[in-house]
Amino acid sequence: MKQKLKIGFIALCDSASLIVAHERGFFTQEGLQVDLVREPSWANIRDKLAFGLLDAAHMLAPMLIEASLGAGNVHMPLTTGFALSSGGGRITLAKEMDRERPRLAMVYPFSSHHYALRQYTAANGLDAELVVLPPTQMIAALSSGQIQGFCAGAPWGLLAETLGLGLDVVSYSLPGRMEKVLGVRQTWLDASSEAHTGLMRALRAASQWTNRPENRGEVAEILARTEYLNAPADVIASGLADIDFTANRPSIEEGRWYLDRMVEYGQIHALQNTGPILADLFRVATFDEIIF
Amino acid sequence: MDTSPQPRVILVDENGERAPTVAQALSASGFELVATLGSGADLKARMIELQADVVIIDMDSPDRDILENMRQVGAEMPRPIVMFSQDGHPDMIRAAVEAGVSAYVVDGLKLERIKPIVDVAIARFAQFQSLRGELDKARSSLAERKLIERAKGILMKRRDCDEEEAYAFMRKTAMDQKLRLADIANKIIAAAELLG
Repeated sequence: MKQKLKIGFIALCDSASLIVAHERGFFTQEGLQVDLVREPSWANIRDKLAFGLLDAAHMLAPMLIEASLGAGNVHMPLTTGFALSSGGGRITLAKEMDRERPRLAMVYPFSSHHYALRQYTAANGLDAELVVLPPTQMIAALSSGQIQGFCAGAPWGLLAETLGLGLDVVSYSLPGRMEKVLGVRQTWLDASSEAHTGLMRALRAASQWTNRPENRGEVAEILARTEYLNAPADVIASGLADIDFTANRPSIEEGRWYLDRMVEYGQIHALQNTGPILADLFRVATFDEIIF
Repeated sequence: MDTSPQPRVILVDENGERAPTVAQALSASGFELVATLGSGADLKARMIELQADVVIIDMDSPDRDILENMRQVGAEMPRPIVMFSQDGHPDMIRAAVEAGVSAYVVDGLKLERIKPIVDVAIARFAQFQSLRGELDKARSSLAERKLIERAKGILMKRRDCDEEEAYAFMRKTAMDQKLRLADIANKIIAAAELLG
């Protein structure tokens, strides 16, 4: 009998390996019947996963820390044994930006994008106001002047550049960090290790397939469809080029970097003895056991 | 006569057919509906401008992440948030409550149930905020105590005095300079670090 799983994702280029696993039969090969659901917000992803309406989800790596420590609105131990991507983030700014007090947007407070904006504004002496906006509203907000720039995952920055907003924009691609992960509940992982193993194997195969240059065109075509990203395939293809889909081994060091930023920017209080906490959140051993 | 003002509510619902019905039910339940917004309406600015007491939002609205940022430690304007979902799931409501969310999912937004749910959300939120405030205070007083202990140690070594004298000196300096004991402790530590 096939194991049924419900997996949530956000419409971004770095959800590609999940979509490819679904569309090209990698899940089926592992005996999994997956219902892939597009969610409108990161908060929904987190809540539905925490409350058991999803079995696994495409998540921002620092969201695991957020949920597990209860730093945001939900307190539920989450974990990952599989990182989905590295890279793809981009800062996009209006060239004629108000340098006194620019208003810059990010997609979620616990994200590499938030921390990149903090570092960028500090390094450039900008006293920016940081706000949260859904990625789908970024481009409209930028062209109406409601914001002067934003940091988001592909393809949103590239889309802003190619759309011709009536204003010039510059954009910078961010250095690759552990970006998205396959988030699951710790209790689910303990109870469903067989399903989790199948999921990881399917995703590893799909990630390698997605990462091959000769497959990127096809991946972009699939992602462009209405039910996935609903965006032009050529823009998606450029976005995919910035992402490494095979950086699948979770990293404690990257987890620690996120944890340190969360403390630095006042999202959580400083913690002692973080080693065991991080090892629980980023399960390197689980990855090594299943993938190697 | 009850003079307490009615809670000011912002409703975020993109469903144009449903929103007016919900709006009407809210008004009938004694809430002051200050705005009904769709997505992309600069929710944060409107919340501040309209001095909203509570936000009621469709779970499937992409604007949910905007609210996430407003409910963190030190956020500008934390407000209770009530979520509703058309396909409300009893398990989800239970799990939401267990996870300590001060937001509640209304099963299909049954209109007669709005009032008690919003009232509970406001009450739970206030309780949570004051608990968090106390926790922060407890944490900082612990941190301050550690600073004071450290400064006391420095003084004892430098002035070759006992603990009581060191403490008396710090307290007097704090009073003279109209500063808090922790501030004086900080200065002593900084000076010691500077002088080596």
